[in-house]
Amino acid sequence: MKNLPATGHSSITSGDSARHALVRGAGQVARLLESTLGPSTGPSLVATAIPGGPPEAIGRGGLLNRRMTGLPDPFESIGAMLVRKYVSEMDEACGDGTATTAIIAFRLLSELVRSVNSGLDPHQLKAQLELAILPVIEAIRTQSRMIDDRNVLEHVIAGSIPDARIAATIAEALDALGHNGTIRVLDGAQPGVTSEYIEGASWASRCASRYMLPVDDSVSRLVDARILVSDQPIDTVEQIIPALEVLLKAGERSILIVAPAITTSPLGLLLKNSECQVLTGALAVTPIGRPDRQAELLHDVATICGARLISQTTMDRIEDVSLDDLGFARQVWVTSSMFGFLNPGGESRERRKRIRTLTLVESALGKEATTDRQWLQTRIGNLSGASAEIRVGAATEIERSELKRQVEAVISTGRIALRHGFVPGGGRALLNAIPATESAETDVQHSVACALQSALSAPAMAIACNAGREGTAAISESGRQHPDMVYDVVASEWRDAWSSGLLDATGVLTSAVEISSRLVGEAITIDQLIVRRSKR
Amino acid sequence: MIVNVVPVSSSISEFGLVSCFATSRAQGPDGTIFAGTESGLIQSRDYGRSWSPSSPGNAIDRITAVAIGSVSDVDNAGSVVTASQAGLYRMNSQSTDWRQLLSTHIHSVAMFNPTPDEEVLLVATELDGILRSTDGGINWKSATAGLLDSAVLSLAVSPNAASGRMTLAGTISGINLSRNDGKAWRIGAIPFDEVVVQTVAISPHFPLDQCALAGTEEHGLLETSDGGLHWGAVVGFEDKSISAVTFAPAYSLHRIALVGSGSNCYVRFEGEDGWSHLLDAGENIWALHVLDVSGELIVLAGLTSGLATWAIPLAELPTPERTE
Repeated sequence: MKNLPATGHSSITSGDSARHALVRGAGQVARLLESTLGPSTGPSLVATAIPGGPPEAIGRGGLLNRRMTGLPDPFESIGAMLVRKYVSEMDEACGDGTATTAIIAFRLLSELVRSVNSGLDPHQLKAQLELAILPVIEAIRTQSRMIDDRNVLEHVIAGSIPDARIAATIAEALDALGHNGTIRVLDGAQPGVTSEYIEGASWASRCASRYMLPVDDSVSRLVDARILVSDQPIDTVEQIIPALEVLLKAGERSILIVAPAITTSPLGLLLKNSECQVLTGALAVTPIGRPDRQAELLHDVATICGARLISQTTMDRIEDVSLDDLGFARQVWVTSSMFGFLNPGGESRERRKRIRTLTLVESALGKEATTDRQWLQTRIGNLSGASAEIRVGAATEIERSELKRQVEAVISTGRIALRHGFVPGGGRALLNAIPATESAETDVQHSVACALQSALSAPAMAIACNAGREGTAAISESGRQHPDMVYDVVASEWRDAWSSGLLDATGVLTSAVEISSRLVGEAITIDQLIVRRSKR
Repeated sequence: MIVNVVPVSSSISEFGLVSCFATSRAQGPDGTIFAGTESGLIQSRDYGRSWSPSSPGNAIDRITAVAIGSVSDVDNAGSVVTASQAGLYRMNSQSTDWRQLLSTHIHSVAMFNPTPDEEVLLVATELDGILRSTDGGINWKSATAGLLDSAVLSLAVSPNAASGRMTLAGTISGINLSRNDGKAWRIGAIPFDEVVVQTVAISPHFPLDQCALAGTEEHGLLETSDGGLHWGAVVGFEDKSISAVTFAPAYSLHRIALVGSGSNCYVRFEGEDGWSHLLDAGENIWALHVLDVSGELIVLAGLTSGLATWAIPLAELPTPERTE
């Protein structure tokens, strides 16, 4: 079919013409990203975000695709945008594997569009592709080995961040905390990357009164403090008087109140008692976060400090609080935006139970649930008291934000590798998975199998080409090698993947196959492309 | 397998309960063995046959832990660190008195050198988790990132390896491991909701076998063979209280490990399926230590009323075929 005439402000194309435009667009993105595969020595692409604007150094695939705004041909541009959408999903889920996803997707798409041209039904091809990738993913997983080793992790990270010191810093933090540890990436004042382990647990919050903070607005601390945690707003002094009486009766004089809202009169009571030294310290905070997550957050706070959550759902009243309902921490700290505990008194048994539950919930999450996963990881990190801050600094803002993005990406990749293991790198694991495609009886099955075979060999071929080797020859040579042997393009020799550390994260590769097949499933069933022209 | 155990000397009871041991030079002929007792630190230079108080100055009683720098030893300008319920103390070979470094209840101490110029001191405390010093104990930082408990009962450090050093911490609810010299900790998976881990020991062959043992208060003996990430209960010790665990220095050859439970000492050899009863000390065993001395294994046991020493002739043990 040909492009249909423009109707009003729109251009339309359909059928073969539409699918070919998608392939061409996807191909342009795939070819751009292809050059980033293999050992990287620094920013590998230069592009402009604004047509005619200054060039910006761009490192790896994900950023390129976020910045890319369009191609000259509007229909091809749709193909490119489709790839961008899925590659961004890959970037968010894994922090790596964007180029692999784009290359696999392009090769699959171009092969299957050819099959559609020859008369096969795109919907049958899509359905068969969904089935055919299952044994491929299984074949990748069967090659996987769990390796909990800092050196291996460092080697894999060094493949994405060429600075060895930065790779070592990130590998140490990941290795020290494990895949459940929370690692926050923050702006650093000095160039370079530094890490610091954070003790205890902390949450974003608002200090209920600025009079509770020192004049310089820094940190207020309580030592051997009792903690009242409630999901009810505290509106009156009568609500907290019983808690203060219980506290003083027990000979304790330091309290933190954690509640969704605290009005001025109870705050005044706390401040007055502190001022008169009836209490040695009194602080109140309101946690910040999505309202639907507030209950879980308060539950975590209560578990960690050993408090009973005074909850509306169980008809509890703050007025009825006893000493056993209050939590404890050796040290409580509060700033204008955070609060936290050091050596909190919650029972380890309860914390372990909660960690186990959250870990199960997290592993059941789909790959697309990135925000939920981050939230769960933060909670697990708080419950296990395992978190670190990595500070990223650079000479310029652009450099810093790019480095920060790379650091966040490799942390994500490292975490996936720790959880799901490693497979031989350099595209070898995908090549090893090709035999899993070899069972085809119908034309549709045969077409999908051929497309998958071509797509699974594409990343290895691209790496070989980027290293100046002839792609097809490299693939046929790899067929004569042991499945664990990977061609080291830096040393120009075949090496054992496991002993040389030439490995990929299993989860990244399986996600790349899964996401690229979804992309292709969506693209081949598209029949019409419509471009609306903007009024200027 | 029945092993011939020979008492080396009669039990020594003048110093009271013996809770810990350390050797300044594990294999050397002039090595000094230190023992922490109820009445202070004592030492022996004849493989435990005779003992004498080690410090001429003020005595520290109720010693809970003793550690010696792993590179330099006390006979060679190194230092010895002891801990008690009252704090942590250090004595260099040049000085004659203990210098107090901390004043908090300490259960265990570990001292090691990540590099030849760097010394790390870790202490397991009753209330503040783990404290860490890199300047000989002058300044201390809390090292509790990843620890679930404030009360830490035991510490053990592995030999250094290319992949780094592993440190284990037994707490009142489980086991934590650190792979960055005690700066941050991961939770070891245990087969119980929580378990009080009184004592931990790491195989001298750890870089190759990734093996370690942990003695619990009520749930017997736990063992790991994946570097401390996952722990399983050892059959035969269920519900027993394990107060002491140790590996023989020649572990790589004979794979000998000892466990103290009540007054009984159990042993495991290479090739044996499980653990065998080695001896009954007649009173509670609180610490075990093994020396490999000219064809014999010397077993030192810290008991409620003193200490006892036995010898196991190595010639009587099966020599395993090994290709390592």
